[in-house]
Amino acid sequence: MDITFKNVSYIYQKNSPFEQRALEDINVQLPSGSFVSVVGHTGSGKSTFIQHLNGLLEPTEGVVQVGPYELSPEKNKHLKGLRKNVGMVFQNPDHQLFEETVQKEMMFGPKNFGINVTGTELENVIKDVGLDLDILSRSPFDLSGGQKKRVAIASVLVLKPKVLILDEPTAGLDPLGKYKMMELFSHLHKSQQLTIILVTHHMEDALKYSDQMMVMNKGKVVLIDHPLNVFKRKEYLKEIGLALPEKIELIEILQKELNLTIDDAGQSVDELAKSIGDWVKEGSGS
Amino acid sequence: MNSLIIGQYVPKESIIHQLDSRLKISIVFIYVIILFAAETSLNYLLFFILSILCMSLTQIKLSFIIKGLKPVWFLIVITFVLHIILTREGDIWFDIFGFPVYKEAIIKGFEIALRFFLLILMTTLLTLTTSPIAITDAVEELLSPLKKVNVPVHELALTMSISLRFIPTLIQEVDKISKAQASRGLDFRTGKMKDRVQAIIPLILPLFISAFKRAEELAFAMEARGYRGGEGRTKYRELRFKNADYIAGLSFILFLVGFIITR
Ligand SMILES: Nc1ncnc2c1ncn2[C@@H]1O[C@H](COP(=O)(O)OP(=O)(O)O)[C@@H](O)[C@H]1O
Ligand SMILES: [Mg+2]
Repeated sequence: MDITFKNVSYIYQKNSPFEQRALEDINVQLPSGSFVSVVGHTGSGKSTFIQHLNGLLEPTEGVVQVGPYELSPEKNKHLKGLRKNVGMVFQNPDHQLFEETVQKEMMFGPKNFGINVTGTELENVIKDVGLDLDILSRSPFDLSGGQKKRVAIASVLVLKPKVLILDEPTAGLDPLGKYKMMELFSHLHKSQQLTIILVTHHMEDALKYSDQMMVMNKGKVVLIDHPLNVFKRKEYLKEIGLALPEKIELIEILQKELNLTIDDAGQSVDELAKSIGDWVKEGSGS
Repeated sequence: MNSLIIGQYVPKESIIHQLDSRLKISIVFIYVIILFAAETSLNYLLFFILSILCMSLTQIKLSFIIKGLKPVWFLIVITFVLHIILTREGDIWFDIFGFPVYKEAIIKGFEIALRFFLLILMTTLLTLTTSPIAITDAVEELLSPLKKVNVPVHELALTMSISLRFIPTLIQEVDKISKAQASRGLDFRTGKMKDRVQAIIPLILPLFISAFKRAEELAFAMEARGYRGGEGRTKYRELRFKNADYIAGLSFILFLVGFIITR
């Protein structure tokens, strides 16, 4: 489902002394099937932005279009249909787990939307998120943090959404857990043509996984482009408080200090290491 | 949404905000008590002037206060109307559709409505201009004589300040939980009453679990930092009277004198 924002603004607690403008005149288009990373300083409006995608927030001004569904400042219907198609996973799984068993937890969404899910489908989703089948009969409260997160994701995936929204999904996981989680999203994206919108603070992840990167600053979308192009704007990114991926930073330093002739072209860390090694062996790095 | 402002705090730098919280609480307390002793219209006029004066000194927009008291206006009007309907004695003033309206009823109804309004206004001004922490500190100090008769004043104040501290956190939590569940299709706004009641469980359960978790973590954190009750504990924020407080206190005494004279 294509996603379009047209002149969208959002104001929290309008008409009170606590009024807070969180989005300002957003105009973006995210094509169906893309993997979009949303980055920006804390408070730049990332969470506010993504909550418009499944109608948790409705624009104060402007129009949001997600596939056939339209959200405007007036009263919006069909929110349930929209939410069935746009799955959202929040940062903290403790905010949603409540059933006695993982199986019941996973059937919560399908029950609400009136979707039938077969036992095989349920088991496939559990396997997809990298959990063992015997977890289905356990209580979600007895699981580890990483397992809870996977159950929360599974409980959304079981709805077979066309768009998956992830708000800082790897926060609080250990490095290996983080890596596995990101690989999972990448796999889902590739194998099911799932559109993924990922809010993240990890520039490495944004560079490695996404094909579109949306940079936000003070409620505005300031850059939207392929990650390689976004990271060319090094000075600007630093100015709005964003770091560069370590890989790009390394290339930059080597270029400056040792006149490295290799450019950043989306190669993997291993490829880069190899080409730098070759470059050193050739005796250029002196 | 969020239209009721009773109990909210709006941080500003006004004179009223900066007054000592003990003074503010005492003044509002006395104000509320003697409001019920008001008799003459001059009495009410004095109360009215004092309240309006305080309100204008808070630097908070008038429209915000008036709008925030909207649900209260409704109650006030109901009280007034009930009074007119239920009072069945005294002189008849006029008829509406053959329904006699008594003069006493109008006066009494108006008086009660005004009292109610002034009471809500003044207590709301107190919470609008005083941070929850300052209110708890003041309550603890004002009640400290009760320690002599073994009332656990410090513990009560601590409980109160922790509760107040966690109200915004819990509200945020409710917001997050309801969004997470709404994303999975939970609908607690429409549908049959039975379904709506059932829809509370997926909201309440995660909330309780996280509240218990928070309580446990807080207890650990307090213990780790050596908390062991109120005995010998010093304060970071000390309440101290400043010139403005003496002026405010004196003005209130003048008001009291005026009140007694006009009674
Ligand atoms: N529920 C809310 N009420 C009022 N203001 C809010 C609320 N949620 C977020 N904000 C404000 O909106 C702005 C954007 O917040 P958010 O979208 O959460 O940013 P991010 O996710 O990029 O950190 C911030 O200034 C924040 O303080
Ligand atoms: Mg956020």
